[in-house]
Amino acid sequence: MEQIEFIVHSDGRVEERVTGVAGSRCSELTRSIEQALGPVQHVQPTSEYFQQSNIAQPLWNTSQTH
Amino acid sequence: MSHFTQIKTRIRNLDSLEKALVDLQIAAERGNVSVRGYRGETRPAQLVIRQDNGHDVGFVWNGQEYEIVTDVQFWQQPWTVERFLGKVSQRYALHTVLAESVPQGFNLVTQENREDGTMRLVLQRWSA
Repeated sequence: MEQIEFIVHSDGRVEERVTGVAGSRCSELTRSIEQALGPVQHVQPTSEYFQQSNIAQPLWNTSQTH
Repeated sequence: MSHFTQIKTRIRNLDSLEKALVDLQIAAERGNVSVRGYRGETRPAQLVIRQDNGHDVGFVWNGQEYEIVTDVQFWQQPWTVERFLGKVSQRYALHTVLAESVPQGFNLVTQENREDGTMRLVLQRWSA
């Protein structure tokens, strides 16, 4: 299962967390959304960055940066 | 790779902007419209919110995004300018996310407004 979670702040800033996608597909997946929304200010790879295969993980296993 | 991304929302799509205003129950006119201002002066815009006092709130394309053109002295919207912009941007972001992700096979499985004023959206699809 591929999952994208968005937290949309009251001032319009968006935080996006992607899980369940390994490898380069992840960036393709969200590129169009990011292009449509606006300039990306910060990107932080989560733990799945180090995985080679496509293994789904529960959302809250990803690293929390904020 | 999975990632965590922060994005600053810019209003660049009139369809999503229009939907955002509908969500907020703000009536707007779209097209080649004019914004009424000081002493009856007007300025061209792509979308306008008419105000009873004869001074409007316009959205004008500046080459990169739509920016608000208005005389804040005659502001008649239910929120402050800053709050208004935030609300519009938040709803705009929702519609932009849906417009980009639903055609790619994603479903909106969670949409919640949280007490801190943020909105949480969760989209899922089965891996190809």
